[in-house]
Amino acid sequence: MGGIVNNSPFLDTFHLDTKANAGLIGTIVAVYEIGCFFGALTSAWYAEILGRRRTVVFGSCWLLVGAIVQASTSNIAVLIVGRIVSGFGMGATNSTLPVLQVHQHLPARDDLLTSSG
Amino acid sequence: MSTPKSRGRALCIQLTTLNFGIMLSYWINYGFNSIETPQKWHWRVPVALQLTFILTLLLLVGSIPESPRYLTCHGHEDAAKVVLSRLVDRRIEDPLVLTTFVEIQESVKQEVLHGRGHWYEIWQPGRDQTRRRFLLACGIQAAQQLGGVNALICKLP
Repeated sequence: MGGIVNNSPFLDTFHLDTKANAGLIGTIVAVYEIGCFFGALTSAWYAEILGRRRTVVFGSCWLLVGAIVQASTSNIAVLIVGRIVSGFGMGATNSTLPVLQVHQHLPARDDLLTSSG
Repeated sequence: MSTPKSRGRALCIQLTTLNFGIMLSYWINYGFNSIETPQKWHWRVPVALQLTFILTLLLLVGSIPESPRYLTCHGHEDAAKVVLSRLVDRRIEDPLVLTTFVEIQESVKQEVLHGRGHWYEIWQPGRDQTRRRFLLACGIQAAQQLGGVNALICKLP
């Protein structure tokens, strides 16, 4: 978003001005992290119910919806909602995928590898 | 299967691809800023391009197995064994698969025996120094952000 929000095509679409609406532009960028915060925190609860893999699918669906909303809207409120949705999905996937990766990285067992072969 | 050595490499690959992605997005933004469309819609293209990675992730997640630890925790022992045998590329009866499975099963049993833990335990100093670990983890993340590198990444280009 950093490379987009300060350029005229984006600013013209939403009728924004970098000086007059600096706070609003900052909010549009930062609200994504709020979504991430809630996505990551709540994933502790539903990753246990859904399983790690389905949590990644679940998070990706939020990402998908958020991306489509962000790319297609011309309304600031909808854009902010789209970014929250995207952030929520990112929080969920980003906190679950590393766990899945760690669980699939089994500890090294060179002793067994060499002795059983 | 990873050795401690290759685990470090795996972690580094993740950070490298992350930074590569940031670079890629800025070049794409740069490219789309230099063209002109009458309806001013060309900022939407870089935003929509993230869909390629989301769809790739959705496709790929179908091929990776569920965490064997999660499966064991939730009583799907047979499924956990199948995953383990796939991960090490050996049969289910293989001693490597079985010992790994027993180890996971043991640690799950220990967790059940000593209780699953409560959220407030994060704030207890205790023998495991949980509070210290928790504060260290949060502190590193906070310091990283407060260092201002993200502001630079966002505003510099």
